[in-house]
Amino acid sequence: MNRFLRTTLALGLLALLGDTLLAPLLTFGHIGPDFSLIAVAILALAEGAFAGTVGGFVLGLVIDTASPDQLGLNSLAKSLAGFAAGRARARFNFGIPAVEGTTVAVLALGHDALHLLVLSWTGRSTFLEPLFTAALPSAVFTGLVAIPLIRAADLLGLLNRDD
Amino acid sequence: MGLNLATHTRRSEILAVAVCAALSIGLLALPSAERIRVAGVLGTVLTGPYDRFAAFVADVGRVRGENASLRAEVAALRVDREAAERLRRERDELRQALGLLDAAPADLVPCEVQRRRVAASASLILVRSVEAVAWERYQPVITVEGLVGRVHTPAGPSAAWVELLNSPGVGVSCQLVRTGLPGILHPREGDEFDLALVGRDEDVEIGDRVVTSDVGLLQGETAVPQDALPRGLPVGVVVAVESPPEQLFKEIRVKSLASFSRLDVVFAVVGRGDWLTAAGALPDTAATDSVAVEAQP
Repeated sequence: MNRFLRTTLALGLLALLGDTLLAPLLTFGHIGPDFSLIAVAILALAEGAFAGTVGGFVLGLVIDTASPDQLGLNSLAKSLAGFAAGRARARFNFGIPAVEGTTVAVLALGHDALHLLVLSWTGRSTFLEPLFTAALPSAVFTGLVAIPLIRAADLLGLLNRDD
Repeated sequence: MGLNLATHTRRSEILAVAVCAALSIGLLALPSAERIRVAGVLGTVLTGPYDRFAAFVADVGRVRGENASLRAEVAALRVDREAAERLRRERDELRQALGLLDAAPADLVPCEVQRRRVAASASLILVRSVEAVAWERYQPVITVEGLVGRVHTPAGPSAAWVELLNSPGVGVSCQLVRTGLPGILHPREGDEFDLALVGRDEDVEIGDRVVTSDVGLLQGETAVPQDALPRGLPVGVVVAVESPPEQLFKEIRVKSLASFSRLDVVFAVVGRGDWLTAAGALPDTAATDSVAVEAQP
């Protein structure tokens, strides 16, 4: 199996198991880690912007099917997050946990901000209050959870440092 | 040739994000009903296999749990059965010592219900077994729930017409389990029966279980012992009891345990068996045959 498929499968599994098994245990109120976003970020860091964009779109679409009233919202937010992470890959310093965690936290904040922007635009939520009370702490949490996962991906050889 | 999305140009990356964003916005812009329909289709394609796998895993877990509890139940039932066997042996020995035992064991022969004949005079079903059966008139026929009828006329080595309990004119000698009071069960309507000849001052309660009695049904002044079914076959439950002041007997309504409208597989009880008839009350073969010939359906 080539490395791209191996990476995609491993990260798909991370998103699946993380969101279905781990996230409910780690979520406090509205604050919890976004494992699927971490998986998209690692995929983009490992394989580039194209893979990150497409992977984020597909993963977002899978999540969207569970909430049909927001169909397209997760796929939009995650494909943009995958693209951004892929573009940041060239300037990314692998091996510094603080940088890795901050990158994922910024991605998560952007992802959630876009989410809230669309929801507030359609009148289904406010913007600022949930941004600071839910999105920001969740982004920090996601960044913290991402650090060991990115380290593990690096140790497993999933991150493509040679490109 | 391996798939590798990592070697794309900046233009293809921008194209990819533009296409993904356009598709996402297109989905977001769909009318609500259409969005739900599309989400359903996408869910079937994208998450269907996972959902089916998760359901399979959950089913396996549930079946394993059920199996574990069933194994425990089977083990407990085995212990109970052994205890019951021991008690039965002791009881048989005592009855034998008293000269009461009819020790021939009873077998249940599964039969498929093939035809049903409902007339003003009788409700009959034609049952067929896989193997040949030594049919006898008045042989009881039961379901898992309880008694449903008795053999009316053999129709070959492996088939027989069975008269259902709710057939007009049928009377079955029964008794109440709790008190041992005897009575005669007559069909009322559907799955309900009247238990007649129980004195108005007798102790009968709603919920009392009714089983067959081996006391022969009296027709006029003539006892017909071959009418008697083995004692103890479950028949029904008392659902209503009244004691009208002007009558000598109670009005007892009994709901049968077996449903007469859903009969697919029944069991013919072969032999008098463990249900214990009175000693020496074996059916008179010649008399049985002559009645059978007269009563061809």
